[in-house]
Amino acid sequence: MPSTEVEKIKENIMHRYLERTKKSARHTESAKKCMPGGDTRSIGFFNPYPFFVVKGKGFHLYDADGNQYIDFVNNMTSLVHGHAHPHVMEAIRKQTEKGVTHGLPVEAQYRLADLLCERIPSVESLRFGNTGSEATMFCMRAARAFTGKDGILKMDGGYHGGHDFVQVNPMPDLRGNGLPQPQPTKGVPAGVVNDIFVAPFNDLEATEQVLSENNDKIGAIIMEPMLGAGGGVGPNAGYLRGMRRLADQYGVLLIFDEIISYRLHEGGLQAMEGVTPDLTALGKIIGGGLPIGAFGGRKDIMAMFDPTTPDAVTHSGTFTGNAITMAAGLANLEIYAQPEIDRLNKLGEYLADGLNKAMYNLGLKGGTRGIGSMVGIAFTDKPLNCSKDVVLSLIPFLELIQYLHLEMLNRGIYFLNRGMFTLSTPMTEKEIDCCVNHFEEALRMLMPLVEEIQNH
Amino acid sequence: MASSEAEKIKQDILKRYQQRTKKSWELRQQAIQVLPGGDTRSVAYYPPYPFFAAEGKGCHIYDCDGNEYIDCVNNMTSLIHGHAHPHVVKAIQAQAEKGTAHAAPTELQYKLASMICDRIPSFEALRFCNSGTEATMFAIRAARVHTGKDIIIKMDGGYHGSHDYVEVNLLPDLTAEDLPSARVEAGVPASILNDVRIAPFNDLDAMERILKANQNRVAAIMVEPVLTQTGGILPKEGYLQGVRQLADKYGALLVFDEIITLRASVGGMQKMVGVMPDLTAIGKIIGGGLPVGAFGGRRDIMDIFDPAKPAAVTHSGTFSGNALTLAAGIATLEILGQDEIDRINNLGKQLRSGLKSALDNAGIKGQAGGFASAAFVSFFEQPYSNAKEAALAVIPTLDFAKDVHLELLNQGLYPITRGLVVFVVSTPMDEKKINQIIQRFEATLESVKPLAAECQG
Repeated sequence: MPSTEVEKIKENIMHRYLERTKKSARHTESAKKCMPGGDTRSIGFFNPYPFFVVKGKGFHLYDADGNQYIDFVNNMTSLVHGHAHPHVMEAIRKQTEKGVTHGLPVEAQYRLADLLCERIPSVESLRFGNTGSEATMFCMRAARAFTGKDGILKMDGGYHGGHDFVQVNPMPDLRGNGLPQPQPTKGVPAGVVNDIFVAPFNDLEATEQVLSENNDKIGAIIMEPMLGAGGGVGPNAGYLRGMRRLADQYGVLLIFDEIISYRLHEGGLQAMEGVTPDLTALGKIIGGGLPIGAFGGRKDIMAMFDPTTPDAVTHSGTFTGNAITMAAGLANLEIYAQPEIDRLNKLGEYLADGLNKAMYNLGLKGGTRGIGSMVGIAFTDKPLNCSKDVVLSLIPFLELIQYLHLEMLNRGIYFLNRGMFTLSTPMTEKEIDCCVNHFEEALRMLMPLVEEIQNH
Repeated sequence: MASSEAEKIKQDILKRYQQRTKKSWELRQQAIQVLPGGDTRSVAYYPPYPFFAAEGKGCHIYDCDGNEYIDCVNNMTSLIHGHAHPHVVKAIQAQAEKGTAHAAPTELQYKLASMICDRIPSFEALRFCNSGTEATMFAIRAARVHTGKDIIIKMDGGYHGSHDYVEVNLLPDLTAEDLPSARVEAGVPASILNDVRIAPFNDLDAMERILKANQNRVAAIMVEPVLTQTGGILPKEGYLQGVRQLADKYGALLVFDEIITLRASVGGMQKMVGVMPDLTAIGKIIGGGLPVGAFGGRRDIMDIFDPAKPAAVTHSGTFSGNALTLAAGIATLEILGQDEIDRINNLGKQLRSGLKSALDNAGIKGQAGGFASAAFVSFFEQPYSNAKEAALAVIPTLDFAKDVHLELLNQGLYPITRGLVVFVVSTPMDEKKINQIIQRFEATLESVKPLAAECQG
């Protein structure tokens, strides 16, 4: 039976959140009238209801009740300069006056493409889409058209957007110890599993087994070099090079989804690790906070989309390469060069140290996951090699994380409710210290819940 | 006519285009280095090369050589107020100062959602996404979850974006003697054909046969009320009502793709014809020119996405419902009431009639069809009621249409070219502008007239 002390703490946290966010509650009721659950995006939701934002400025978000938050979500890692950065805003302001989208080529398209090709060695040419989903979808289409094979190997717990052929094991298979079994999410035809194969991250042996057993079917591997939504798990030493070697050995293309990890280095995580994929999917930060995706890589593969060649593969989209997104993206990356990226990654390490210390001070086993400017909390000191490891380690602590998240909101810190913190360039050590202090205090408050969990 | 004379005319059109667009050609040489074929969007390409846009203002677009065009494309029908409408510009600039995307709900979301639900009777609830592609994809996903069935029936020659399950028969099956055969696009797994069936548009009998042959396995019928991409084909009297009845009879959901046709009335084409679909995908005009899509309909279906419910269906997306897009969308719809739509629909009617007269006066066979504020010009006289009929008639005229398109550009008119030449009206246009479009079309026909004989005999 739960202790009344724990119940009291939870009630207190919930009560304070409800008190602070009365206007958001009213907005939620209005929103429910025309949007299921008042929501238009599953990942933004949490209980009892998310606060309604009225404004973002730098690293701050302001809600409808006038509360201020330090934003450690940055729209799911996509806002690298925080909100309404003057340089990006000016680019948006100017471009809006010349039209947001023209249905024609514009100079900004190749300027942004050029910048990305210069920064990422493996990207020789590229095309733009509107979302990361579209980017991974067209990487897969390119790979399938190029290899003539329909099979794709993805990671257990790997997330690559909302399209059908990657909506297989976005959550890891938690049953058993063998190879993960492919399982489509709801509303995705069961038939997709004919063409999708799944292996655990950081497991070269399992990957080789799947590749060797299905060599006639598989045309490509798609993977994030660091599992993002799947748990913030980085690659073990030699893993990515091993994946490259296996791809070559079995004659399949290697696709990196760097939609999230691209913020870690001008050349992406692939440059940091010295591994060259055949194709790469990009998104998030490259559009300056507007909807964007891009896919690119080897020139001989991308040439299939050249409209002047016979039988060119089609890739359209009403808003692909629109001028305002290109302008915002260019402005965004202009001021996100390697020295600034290094500074932000260091700041991320500073946050990780702080969170680790906070947990140590409270006598908690645990630590952090993630790389550079993306930091996740972990309530275990065991190594986390794949998505399944992360999910299993978090399951006993889900209620703790829920109340920790809510209490941090009460204290004006907004992080992603799966335990992830993402930094933005307007931040300094001061904001990190503030976050760490509140983290320690919030956790201290919740220690009776932690003990209850540990005693079970 | 001697073919050398025809060649001369073609060469002259091409040469004038190249002369006018030297800077575009130069920029293209840069673009080719990093974008395959210099392009990032297949539909925007045309030979010899598309011009590079420098700026859009109202119903005009300016290229980087300083040429002015009357824009009859409006970014594939998405810019109903033309370019940089002051009301929309103001909304975008004001929102940019408050941030573009926040990862938390905003009032803008339900404001635009309720505007849309008020306008379209079949919309009880909706969700936003970032493109029409995502809208049709999630409408299909919702239908599959709700019915527990996987098969989707789509139209031969129907376009619903680029996700795998609709990349089937974008171009109609031209060899079909009976029902069209299903064929996937390059890079789309063949296995999806297990779950997609193809029906000819405007054919209730074929639809019923397909439903019967797949009894209890069809999740939904997906249809644009006007088949836009393959000819602007109007539904025959009673066709959409018939599809509604068949969907009910066989227990399938009816999904309308009104991404393009929503411009026809505040409540879309469904309101004009009085047919209630179960789900609808929309996009284009509802985002004020920024990337957007939305899907919605019956509340009992949409409720599967309610995140507070156990086992809710996931629909996320980093930029779904972002503040900048929704602010622009609200501003766009605020100044797009039924009166304004009626006005541009009337302009559309005048345009169709003027374009048809121009064809007649020039002695060139052709039609000017379409719907509402869009005119679809074809250079053949055969009537067509499905994509196959349209394609078979249009194929012999494709070369001619290309020359017409290029000469229209030389005349300062920018239409869509997809075999047919399509003119889209935007609200900055008035009767005077329509007459100007017609005059430029007449001038174009005057110079290409000798070429018509080649394809029309």
